[in-house]
Amino acid sequence: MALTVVKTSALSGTITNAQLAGSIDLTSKVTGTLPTGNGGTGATSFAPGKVLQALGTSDNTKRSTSSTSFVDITGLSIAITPSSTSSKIYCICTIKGVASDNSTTDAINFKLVRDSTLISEATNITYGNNDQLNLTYPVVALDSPSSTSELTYKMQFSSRLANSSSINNTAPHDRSEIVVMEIGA
Amino acid sequence: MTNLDKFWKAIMIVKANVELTVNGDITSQEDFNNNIIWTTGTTVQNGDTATTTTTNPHSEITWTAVKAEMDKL
Repeated sequence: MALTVVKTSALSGTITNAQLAGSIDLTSKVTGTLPTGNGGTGATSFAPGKVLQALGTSDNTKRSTSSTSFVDITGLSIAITPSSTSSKIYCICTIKGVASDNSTTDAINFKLVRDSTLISEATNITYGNNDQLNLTYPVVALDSPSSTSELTYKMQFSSRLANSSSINNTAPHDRSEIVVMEIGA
Repeated sequence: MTNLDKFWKAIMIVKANVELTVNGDITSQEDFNNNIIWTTGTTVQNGDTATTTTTNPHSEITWTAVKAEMDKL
């Protein structure tokens, strides 16, 4: 009758391939923390990244309006479908070449909306200046839509006094961008 | 003064305080027909969202009339 000897003592030092004799059961046979000095993170648990998706688009056509009520800015619109109702949407829009008519009382207004819901609003930008300033205007918002349906985030603009107000006015201030990121809970 | 600056001054001469949105430049009848969104009113949505149309609702504003004013500038 053949006899099999099984080594039951703990392995120490460098483990050879022969000693492994198969695979290691990671679910129960590995413990401890891999130090940073050995290429580990030093962490005792794993926290996955929170940015689940990121989308963006840009536009470099000059857009101007005299509308005193808000109109969509063509090219600064982006759709995203959250993977969970608990996700947040981080929205960043950089509007370049912002200018209004040569009047100290005229100004341009912006809105960020999700479909028809107002997310962020800024009014009377450029008020008090009579130069074509070509400002860069940032819009940042963290939205909690509680939805897994497709959502469209878009920028709108209007003019304070029905004179022409513009974005993407002149190069190099002529490319605006909108970026949306789904942030996991 | 750029062509678009002239367009804006000219159209306000033809009809003061007209409300519109221009995408790009207006240098021809084709641009006038295709690159303008006209504001016709305001909805109650968020209080101040425009109702718009791509069809020119102002009979007195024509490319010919606007171009004539642009040429004077």
